[in-house]
Amino acid sequence: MTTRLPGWLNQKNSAPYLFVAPFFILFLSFWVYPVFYSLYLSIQRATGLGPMQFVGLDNYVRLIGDPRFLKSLANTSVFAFGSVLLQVPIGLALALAFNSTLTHRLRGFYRVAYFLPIITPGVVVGIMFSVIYEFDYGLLNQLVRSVGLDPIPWIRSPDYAMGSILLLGIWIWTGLKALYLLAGLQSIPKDYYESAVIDGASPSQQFLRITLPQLRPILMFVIIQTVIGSYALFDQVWVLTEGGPRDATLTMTMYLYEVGFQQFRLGYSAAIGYSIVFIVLGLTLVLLTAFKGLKDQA
Amino acid sequence: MRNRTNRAELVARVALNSLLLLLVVVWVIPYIFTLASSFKPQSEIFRLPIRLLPESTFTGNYEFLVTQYPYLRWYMNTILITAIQTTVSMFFCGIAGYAFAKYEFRFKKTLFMLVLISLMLPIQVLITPLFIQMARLQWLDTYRAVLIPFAVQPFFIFLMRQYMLSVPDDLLHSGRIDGCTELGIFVRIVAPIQRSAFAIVGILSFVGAWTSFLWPVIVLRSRDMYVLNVGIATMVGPYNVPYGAVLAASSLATIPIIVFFLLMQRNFIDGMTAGALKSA
Amino acid sequence: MRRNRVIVLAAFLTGIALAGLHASGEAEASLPEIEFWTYADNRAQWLEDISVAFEEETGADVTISVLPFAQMHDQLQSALFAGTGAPDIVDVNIYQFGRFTTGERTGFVALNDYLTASTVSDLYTSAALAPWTWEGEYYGLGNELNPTFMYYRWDLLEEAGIETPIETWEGFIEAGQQYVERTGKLFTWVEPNAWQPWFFLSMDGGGFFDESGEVAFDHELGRRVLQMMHDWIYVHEIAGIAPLDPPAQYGALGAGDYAVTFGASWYQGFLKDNVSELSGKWMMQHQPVFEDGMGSEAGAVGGTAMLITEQAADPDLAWRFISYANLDTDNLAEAFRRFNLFPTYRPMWDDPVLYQPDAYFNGQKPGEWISEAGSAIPAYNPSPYWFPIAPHFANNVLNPVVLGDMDVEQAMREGMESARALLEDY
Repeated sequence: MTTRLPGWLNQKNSAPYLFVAPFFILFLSFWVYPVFYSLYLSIQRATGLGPMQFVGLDNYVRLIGDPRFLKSLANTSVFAFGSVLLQVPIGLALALAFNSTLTHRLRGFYRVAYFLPIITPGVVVGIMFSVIYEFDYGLLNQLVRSVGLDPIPWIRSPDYAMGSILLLGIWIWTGLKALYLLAGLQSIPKDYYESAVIDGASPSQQFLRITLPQLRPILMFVIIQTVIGSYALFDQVWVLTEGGPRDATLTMTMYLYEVGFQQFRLGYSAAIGYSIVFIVLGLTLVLLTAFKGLKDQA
Repeated sequence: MRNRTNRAELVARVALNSLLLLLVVVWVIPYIFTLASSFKPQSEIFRLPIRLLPESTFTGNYEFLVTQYPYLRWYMNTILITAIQTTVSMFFCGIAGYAFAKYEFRFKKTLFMLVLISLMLPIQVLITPLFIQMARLQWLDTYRAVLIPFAVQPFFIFLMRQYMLSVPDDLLHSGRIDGCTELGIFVRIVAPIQRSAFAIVGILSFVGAWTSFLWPVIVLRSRDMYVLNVGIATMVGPYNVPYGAVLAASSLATIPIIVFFLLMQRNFIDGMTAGALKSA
Repeated sequence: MRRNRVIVLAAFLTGIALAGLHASGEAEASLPEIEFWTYADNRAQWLEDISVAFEEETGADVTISVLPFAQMHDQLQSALFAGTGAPDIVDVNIYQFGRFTTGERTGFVALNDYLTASTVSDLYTSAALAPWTWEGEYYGLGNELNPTFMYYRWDLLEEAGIETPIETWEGFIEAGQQYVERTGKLFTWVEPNAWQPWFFLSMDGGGFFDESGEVAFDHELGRRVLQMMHDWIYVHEIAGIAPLDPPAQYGALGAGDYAVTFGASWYQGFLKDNVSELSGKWMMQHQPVFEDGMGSEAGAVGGTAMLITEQAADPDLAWRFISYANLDTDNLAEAFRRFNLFPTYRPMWDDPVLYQPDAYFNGQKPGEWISEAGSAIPAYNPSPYWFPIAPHFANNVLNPVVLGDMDVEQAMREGMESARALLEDY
C-alpha cells in the first residue's frame, strides 16, 4: 500500500502528534478537568439536588473531626502496613523457595496456584471468603472446632474483622509479591554468589550481603506498591463486611463511596478523595526518601 | 561424602515441596469449595459437618441464576466491555508508546512528563467529579461511561515505550523508503516484532477490565447494564441471599479468566512482573 | 496476511464497539407511559394486575419494575441527580425518604395541590402523610397502617402449657423459661442487626428522635427494652441470636426451632409466603407491656409511599394512577387479600372484606386486630435523618449489646455521641 500524501502534511512530522492525540484528548477531558473540578468541588457544599454553595476549607476541617473518616484512615493504614509486614517476608520466603533448585520441577505449578487470586475479581474473592469466614457453618470455623477450639467470629466481631481482612490480603497478594521478588532474584548475577562461596561466606551471609542489597529496587517497588494499593482497598471488603462490624473494616475508599454515592454529599466526598491523594503522595515520598537513605548508607 | 549430601538434599527437597504443596491446597480450596457448593442445594452448603463435594449434582442454583437474574446479559456486557477495552488499550497505548519511543517531536518531553504525572494520582480523586461529568453528559448507565474515561492507561503507554525503544531504526527507515505510511509502519513492521509487548498489555488490560468494580458500580445503575462483578455484588444484600446462586454466579464469572490464564501463563506472569521490573 | 486479519478483527471489534456505545436503549413511546419502580415482589404483582383496568381506561402503558431495595433507592437518587433515567412513580420506603431531603430540592413533585383538590387530606391519618412531608410539602401517601404484633405458635405454646395472651414482659420471660424447660427449644430470637424490633417495642418512649428532631434514643423505655432483649439471651436464656438471613430464619421457623416472633402487620404476608406449611398454627396478639405500664400494646414500623418524581412526563396522569391504587376500594381489598395490607384510606375501614377470618392465623381476623392496634400506636417523631441514624443505631448500639460485647449503658452512651457527630454534617 503506497499512498502519497501532500507535502505539507509530512507524515513523519505529523504522525507522532496523531498517535499520542487519543491519549491526550482523553487525558484532558477525563483527567485534567476532573482533577481540578474535584479540587473545586471539595470547597463546596454539594449535597443532594440543587445548587452548590462555597464553603471554603470547611469540608477539610470537618474531616479532621469526623470519627468515621479517622476510623477509615486508621483501618486503611493498619491494613497497609500490616500487609507490608506480613506479605513481603512471606513473599520473599516463597520466592527463595521457588528459586531453589529443590523446587525446580514444580515451579510452574506453584506459580499458577499462588497467582490465581490476582486474576480473580475482588467481588468473587469477597464472596468466596464470606462463606469461608461464616461463623456457624464456615470452613474455617469447622477446622477450628475440629481441633477443639471455640469458633472464631472472623467477620462478626470488630476485634477480629480487620485481622481477617489482613489474612485475606495475604491470600490474595502474597503470590504476586513472591513472583516479583522471584524475578528480582533471578536477575542477580550468579557469579556474585560464586565468589562469595569461594570467600567462605555462609548462606545467611550471602543472603544479607548479596541478596537483600541486590533486591533493594524491587523490594522498594513492592513495598510502595503495597502501601499505595492498600488505600484503594474496596471490592473485597465491600462484599465481605460492608465496612462493618461497626466500621471496623471501613476503608477510606469505601467511606468515599458511601459519602459520595449513597449520602450524595459530593463536595465532602471530593475532599475525602483529595485527602487520600495527599496521604498517598506523602507516604510515597517518605518511603522513597527512606529507601534512598538506606541506599546511601550501604 | 556424596551420598550424605544427596540424602540431605532429598530430604530437603521432599520437605520443601510438601510444604509448598500443602500451601497450594490452602490457596486453591476456596475455588474448589465455591465450585462444588454451586452444585449443592442451599441447605447442604450451610450445614455441619461440612462436606467439600456435593452429594449429587444439583443444577437448581444455575437455573435459578439465569431465570431470576439477567445473568446472561451481565455476561454479555462484561465480555463486550472487556473485549473493547482490551483492543482499544492495545492499539492506542501501542501507538502512543511507539510515538514516544521512536519519534522526535516538539513537546515530546513535556507530554511524556504529563503521562508520568498522571500515573501518580490515585483514582479516588477522580471518581466523584467523573461521576458528575458522566451525569451531565448523560452517559450514566451506558457502556461509554465504563469504557471511555479510562480507555487509554498511562502505565501501558509507559510500558509500550520501554519495549518499543529496542526497535531498530533501520527497519523504520526502510519502511519509509518503501513508501509506507507511518501508521502502516506501525501496523506492518513494528507490531509483529513486538508481539510480546502487545500480549502483555492485552493481558493486563483484559484482567483489569474483567475484574473492575469500583467505577462500574458507580456509573452502571440499571440491572440490565451491569457487568458481572456489579451484578453479583447486588445479589448479596442484607436480606435473602441466595448463596447457591451467588456461588454459581461467582464460579461462572471466574472460569473464563482462569482458563485464559492457564492458556497464557507465561505471558501473564511475564506481563505482571515486567511491570514491576521496568518500574523498579 | 496475518496483519490483514488483525486489521479485520480490529475493524470487527470496532464495529461491535460502535454498536455497543449506542446500546443504552431509549424507548420511543407514542402512548402516554407510566414507569413505576418498586422493591417488593408482592406489591409489583398486585400493581401489574390492577393496572390492566387502568390501562384500558386511560390508554396509558404502565410498566412495573422491581429492583432490589438498596439498589432501587441508590439508582433513584443518582437518576434524579443526573436529570434523566428516573421513573414516573416510585415506592419510596419510609426510612429512605430522608435521603432526598438533604439538598435544596427533594426531586419529587409536591402533592399538596392534588391532595386538596380531591380533599383526600381528610381521608387519611396523619401517619400516612407525616413521614413523607418536608418543609410543608406532602410528597407521598403512606399506603398502610402497620401496627406491630407478637406472633406465636399457639400449638407449641399450648403443648408447653403456656396461657395466652401474654400481657406483660415479665410474664413473657416466665413463659419463655417454662417453654425452654418443657421443650428444650428456644422461645424467641433477637436479630443483632435489625433495629426495627427495638424501635417498635420502645416507640412509646419516642423512638430515635425527640420532638425537636434531635437524636434521642437513650430514653428510659429504650434502655429497658434493649436490656430486656439482652437478658433474654444471656440472663434468662429464652432467646437465641436470629439466623442471619431470611431463608435461614424461615427455615428455622419451619422446623419449629422458635415459637414466638415479633413484626408489623406486613410481616403476615411474608409468613404466608415463606412458611405456608405452618398455616393454622400461628396466632397474633398485642405486644406485652411492662408491669409498671411502660410500653405500648402496639408499635408501627415500616411503610411505603408512592411518590411522583420531578422527571415524570405527566404528573397528572401519575397522580391518577396513585389515586387509583390507593383510593379505590376494590384495589385495596385485593391488596388486603393478598398480603394483609391494611389501608390508611379511612372510608375503607368499614369494608367487611378487611374483617374476614384468616385461616393462616387459626381463624383470627387480622383486620380487627390491626384496626384496634392502630389506635394504640404511639405518635412518634419522624425525621429526615432516619437514613443515617437507624443503621447507625443497629450497628453501634444494638449489635454489640445483642452479641454480648457491650453493656447497654456504654453502648447507648457511645452510640449517642457518635450519632450526634454523624449528624453534624447534615
